[in-house]
Amino acid sequence: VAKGQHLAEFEIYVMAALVRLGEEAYGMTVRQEIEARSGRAVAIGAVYATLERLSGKGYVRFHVSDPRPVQGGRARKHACLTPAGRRAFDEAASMMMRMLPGTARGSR
Amino acid sequence: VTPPRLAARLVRWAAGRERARFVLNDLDEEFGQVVRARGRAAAHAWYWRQALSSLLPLAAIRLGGMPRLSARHVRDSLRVFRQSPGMSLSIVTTLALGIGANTAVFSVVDAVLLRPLPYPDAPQLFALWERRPDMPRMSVSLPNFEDYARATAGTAELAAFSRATAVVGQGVSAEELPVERISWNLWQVLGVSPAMGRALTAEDGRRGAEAVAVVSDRFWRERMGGVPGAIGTTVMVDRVARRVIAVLPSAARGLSDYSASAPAGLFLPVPDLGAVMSRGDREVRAVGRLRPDATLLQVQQRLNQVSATLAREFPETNTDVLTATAPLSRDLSRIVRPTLLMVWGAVALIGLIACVNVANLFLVWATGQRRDAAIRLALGASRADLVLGHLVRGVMFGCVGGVAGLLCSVWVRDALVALAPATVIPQIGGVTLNGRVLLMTAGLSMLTGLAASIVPAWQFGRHRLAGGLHESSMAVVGTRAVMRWRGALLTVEVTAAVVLALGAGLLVRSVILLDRTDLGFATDRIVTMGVRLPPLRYGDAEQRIQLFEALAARVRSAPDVHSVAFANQFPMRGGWGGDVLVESPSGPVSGEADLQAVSPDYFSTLGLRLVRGRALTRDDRTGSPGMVVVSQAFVGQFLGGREPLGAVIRRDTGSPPLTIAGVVADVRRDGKFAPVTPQVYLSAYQPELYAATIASIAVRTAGDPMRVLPHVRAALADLDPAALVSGVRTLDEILNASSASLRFHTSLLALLAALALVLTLVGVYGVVHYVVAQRTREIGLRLALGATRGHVLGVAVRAGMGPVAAGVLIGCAAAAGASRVLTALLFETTRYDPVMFILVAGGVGTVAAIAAYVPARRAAAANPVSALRGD
Repeated sequence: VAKGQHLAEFEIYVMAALVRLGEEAYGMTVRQEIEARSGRAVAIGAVYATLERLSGKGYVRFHVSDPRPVQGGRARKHACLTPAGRRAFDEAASMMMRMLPGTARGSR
Repeated sequence: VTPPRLAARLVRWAAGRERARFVLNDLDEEFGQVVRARGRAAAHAWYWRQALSSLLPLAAIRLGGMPRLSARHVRDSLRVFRQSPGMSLSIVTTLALGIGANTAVFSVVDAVLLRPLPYPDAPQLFALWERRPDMPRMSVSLPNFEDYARATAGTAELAAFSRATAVVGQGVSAEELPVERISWNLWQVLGVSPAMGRALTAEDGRRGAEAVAVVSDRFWRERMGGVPGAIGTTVMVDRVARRVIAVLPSAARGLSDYSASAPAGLFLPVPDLGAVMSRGDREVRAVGRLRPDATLLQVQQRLNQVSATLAREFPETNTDVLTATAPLSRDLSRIVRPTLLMVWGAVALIGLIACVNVANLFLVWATGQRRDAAIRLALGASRADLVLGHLVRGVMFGCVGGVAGLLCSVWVRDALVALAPATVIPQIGGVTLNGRVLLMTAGLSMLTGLAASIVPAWQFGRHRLAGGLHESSMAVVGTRAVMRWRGALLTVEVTAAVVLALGAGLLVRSVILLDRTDLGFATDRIVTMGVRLPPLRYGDAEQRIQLFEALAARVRSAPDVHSVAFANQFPMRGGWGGDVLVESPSGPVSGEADLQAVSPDYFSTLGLRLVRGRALTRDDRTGSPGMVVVSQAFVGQFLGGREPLGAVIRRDTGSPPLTIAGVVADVRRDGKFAPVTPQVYLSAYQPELYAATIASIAVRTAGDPMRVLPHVRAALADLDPAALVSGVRTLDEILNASSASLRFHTSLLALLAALALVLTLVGVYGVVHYVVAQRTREIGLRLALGATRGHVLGVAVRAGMGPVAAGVLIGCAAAAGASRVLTALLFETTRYDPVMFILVAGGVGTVAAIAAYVPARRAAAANPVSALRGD
């Protein structure tokens, strides 16, 4: 990973949510996923801002869905990881795995 | 159920239309889920929380990423001080003016309205008044007070006090000083125990108890040498020896000091005279302290029961008499509050104008730096970074301006304190610079700086500036938005200036009308005073008159004395009115008039013009027929065009007849704010016809009337060593005091309005100057192509005058609403005075037109060739 390309904590959360949600990933589901798992309140604006930043780094791709075929159905902006994004996420995740063991309180 | 529209609009504003579409779609979808799961109210709250917490990240992404505040921003903003010192100086000066004025006034507001009263647990204290449908606030009668105190004993403790003056000391050193007569428990209720000596007890309040006094710290230091031995010594108060039993702590303040110009030095416990006084004489004010778990409402309920009982038992004095209670701090500041808030509002407008002017200057600056900004963007800076740069600069200037303003404010505050008459703002002496004031100044400075830089920051964050690179000064592209903003800012500024100018105009008009108002009697070089005679020796009216006549004769022989008069009371010092009956062919007509017993010299001393007949003479004395002099208003009101001379009036159906001997010009007996009332002047030598006690003299002199005072004192001491002079005041002094508040607020508002106009002038000049500078080449081209200079002039002036006209209109409308706060100060002027509106609108318009014309003329005079050469 090039210098300055470290992923921020929230970026990792968003990418994790994208991995987990797969086809279903768009702003609302990503938001709900992170909120449910982290227990922290998450602003939709922060999700969009992070997704856009990740897309600027080439890690995330968007595609806009057609309006859903129900009354009042609207278009969604789906997001998924690019191969580069997937690699960066895996690397960050495995780095985290290597760093964490033995740090939990009470264990050594 | 639809999501809150305003929240959605905020999101759209922060994110930009395109990005907002998906954000809002998601929010709406989840909103539906939340409504189903948790109901409508919770969903609304949820939506708002989401929207608000999304604003910052969305705005940041829109501007190209969340900027980091770095030392570079601060360095860059500091550099402008060096790069454009002139502009920086004008920004700092403008900010200093705005912030300084606000800080100064806030420190007064803080001292008078915000600081807690200097009594422990002050929120538990409340004021108690009596009221009647026609009088919302009256003093309390002592017998009623004692009933109230007994009835509320379970929920509160009540104490009474009243302000008075007393002659303190003896012989030559005797002096009249303000004192407070108090119930024995007043200081206990206020929670203040003496610094020295013993507290008053119920024993001190019994009839026949030893006469004692509590003194203030200041009285103790200044008049008793500040020695501990002073406790137990006696002071003479109104010829009674009182033993000093306690000295109060230096921070203690008498309650009556809050509405007086000088603090009371002596506190005299008054025996409980409730049993022997009339319930109709309302002579005391009351204060109470709630018991720990009681509420004001409970107290008020008990009081209402008492009022009902009293109204039944004493219908003559207590019908319709109720009580009113209010928290003490609110009650004490109720007189200054409205005008102080008015002044605060006025300086807030100055602050607004200053902020707008600085925003304008920032905008000019930012426009000048468009190419610079474009280069930075091209080199990879984010627009958010540029916006942050603007904001940092704004806050920096705010801080520098704030420091300068703070220095300014100390000076302004001292000037305010020195100029404000003590009667206008009694607590003004306590004004200090404390933490709260500093905090307010710091907050205001940052906010002003931030507010002033928001418009340019937003403006330049919004537009793509890439165009700036290949933009020459010929192009006017992109300046249209800037112009719109400058126009809007100018409108705000003009609106504020018009509001201030109208307020000042109404007050100035009031002062002019007040000055033009004729009192009907002279006030210059006249000193008036009361003479207190020992009552036992002067029980007989004849004896009093002899003493006054002897006194007048001696004073008359003093140097520079023109004339000396005596009467029961002189104008503007109180007096009595009463019913009179006037005989007429169709039976007696009755009505109310002011009555006074006067010496023959009264008319010449006060310069009362005799219109018909004769004045009173020394021969109008006991034994001769009753003669009176009346005023023209009396003739108009009671005689209806009949011949006044020789007409007969009576005080009552059975009382002796009084024949009108002369008619004098009208007077406003109670000062300029009071109406002309009918007057009846009776002879002081006929006490059997009108039994008012002769108690005052007036001396008219050639020079300073106060110089005659030693002569009066000496003459009086010679005639009766036990007699005392009291309430020495010149009529001019009384007259000026009555208009002090109006004059003070008028000069203050006029000053602020002038400041506002100057700042606005600068604003208008700036806008037109900017337009002209931006369009020099265009103007040159137009001139070269045959446009007339008049046409060019018109275009430039119009650019400035549009926003001005809008500001004048909005300002007039706003002033019509805001002038409500002035009503209490205005004199014979309605707050909708159309003349004033036209004058101010025309005045501000003209001033603005001149400010626009100066730079516009320069443009029109431009040489087309040199204008086109440019770049």
